[in-house]
Parts: sequence; structure tokens; C-alpha cells
Amino acid sequence: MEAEAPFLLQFLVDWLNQILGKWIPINATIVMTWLVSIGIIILAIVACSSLKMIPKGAQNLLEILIEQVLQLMEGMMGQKKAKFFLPLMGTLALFILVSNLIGLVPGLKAPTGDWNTTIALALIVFILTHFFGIKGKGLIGYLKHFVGPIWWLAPLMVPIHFIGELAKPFSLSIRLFANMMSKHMALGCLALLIIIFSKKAILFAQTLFIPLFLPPVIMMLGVLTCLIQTFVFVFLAIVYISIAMEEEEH
Amino acid sequence: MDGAVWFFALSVLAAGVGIGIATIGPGIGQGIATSKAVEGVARQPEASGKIMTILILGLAFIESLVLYALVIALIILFGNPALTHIVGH
Repeated sequence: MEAEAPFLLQFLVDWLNQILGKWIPINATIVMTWLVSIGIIILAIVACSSLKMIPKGAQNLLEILIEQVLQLMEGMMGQKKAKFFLPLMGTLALFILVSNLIGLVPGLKAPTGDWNTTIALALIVFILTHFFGIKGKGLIGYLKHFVGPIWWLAPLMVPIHFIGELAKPFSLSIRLFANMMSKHMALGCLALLIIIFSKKAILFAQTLFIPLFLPPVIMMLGVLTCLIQTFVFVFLAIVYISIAMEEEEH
Repeated sequence: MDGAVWFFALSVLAAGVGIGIATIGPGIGQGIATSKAVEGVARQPEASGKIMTILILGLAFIESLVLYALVIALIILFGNPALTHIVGH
């Protein structure tokens, strides 16, 4: 993709490739994923090193996020299950949020702007959905859900449900990835325009106006997109798992 | 113009026109969803939190249709798997 901004940590990628390149090829996404993970771990250690009743600083920040996720989950699946799934959903929310927002820093890439990262996250949700679905209802009860309420419609309903289940991780991952990447590419195109226009120096004042003043607007929209996409991903993951686990009501 | 240039030109045309067509339906859909949500909040301001959550979720679902078209446009432009078979190198 030509229209992307240069990667600031390319030296780190090259250096890691020299060491680990024999076993696994390293690219920018992997390096950024590791950086985000290390950053979150350090933040968590700092926040938990001195727990207080009245939170301050980093502890306050994490408590807000985790309370929001827990509140969202309690509304969907009840208090007991919410406590059980909080580690998974909290990790997803924290990781996606930080890796979305880090893409707004010029020169860094969002790990979620790569389909490989988002499909991995979506597959985790997909596998856990079916695991807890089978665990909650039993294998027969879980397969009964695929047949639908009327038994003689089964030849029609089973393929529809099957394709629907397969489409879930696909749409979940594509949504996050395409949102992040389209923002990234729009910013990259505008950065490219600055270079092209400043080289030609025709109509300097008029033409530079657009590439210089449009990126902040797109970045503002980008912050909003990051937050909303994080919310949507986590919300859908909660919905999928709670639907798979819930008991028959009708 | 030779075949490769024609191929490139038509690819760009397909990507541009395709994303343009793909935005029409979801645009109308998002407009309807937002207008109904505004009506709901105006009638019942205390339910605005719940309406907001559902609205954002619905908008994200509608938006993903455009994003499928965007992904296909990008595949046509940058990563067409049939490219090497058609152009040659």
C-alpha cells in the first residue's frame, strides 16, 4: 500500500528480524502488538502496586474502564456470569482500545489496522462462544438451536444458521479492521498530498490548505471511531457469548 | 492503450463506482435509524442512554456493509489475486 505513512520503528523491525527472522518473520504489526501488550502490562503493574480505597492516577483510569465493561456485561448476562467473563472482555477492551488509539500517533501503526490481528481476536470470541454454548446447554441442546423451532424446516434452517455462525467472526473482524485501516489510509493520502504539492509549489497557499487542515479533523473523528469500535467489538462479543449460553425460554 | 493499462483503468473505475454505489443504501439506512432515535429521545428523554447504545450498535452494523465494499475496492486496487494471471508479470 503506497499511500501509508512511513513506520517510525522500522529499525526495531529490522533488528528483531535479524535475531528471530530464522523462526518467524517479524513485521510492523507484530512489533506494535508486543509494544501495546508490554505497555498494558506495565500500566497494570503500576496501577496495582499501590491499591487504595480512594483511587488516584493510573488506578482510577483502569477502574473506570473495568467498571464500564462490568456494567455493560451485568446488563446482558447477569452478575455471576459477568464476573466470570470479566477477565476476557476486560482484556479485549483494554487491548483493542489501546491499539486503536496508538494508531493516531504519527509514525506508529495500529495493530488492529491489520486483518491478522482482528481475525485472531474474533476467532478467540468465536471458539469461546461455541465452547461455552456446548458447555452450558450440552451438545444435543446446543445442536437443537441450529434446527430451529419447527423440525420439518430443519433442511432450510441448518444451513442458514451454519452460515450465520461462520459470518459472525468474519464481520466482527472486518468491521474493526476496515474502520482502523480506512482512517489510517485517509491520513496517509493527505500526508502524501502535502509532499506532492510542496514539491510542485503551484498554488502553494491554496493547495496546502486542504492537506494541512484536514488531518486534525480526521483525527478527531478517528478518536471517536476508536472508542465506538472498541465498544462495538466488546459489546458484540458479550452478546454472542450470552446468546449461546442462555437457556431455552420459549 | 495495451491490456495492462486498460485493466488498471477499469479496476480504478470499478473501485470508485463500487464504493459510491455501496454508500447509498447504508447512508439512507443510517439516516432513518438516526431520525427514529432522535424522535424516540424527544418523546422520552429519560430513555436516551438506552436508545444511544442501541443506535450506536445498529449504526455499526449498517456501517459494516460499506466497509465490505471498501475492502473489496482495496482488494481490486492493491491486492487483486488475479492480477498476475491477466497482466502477466
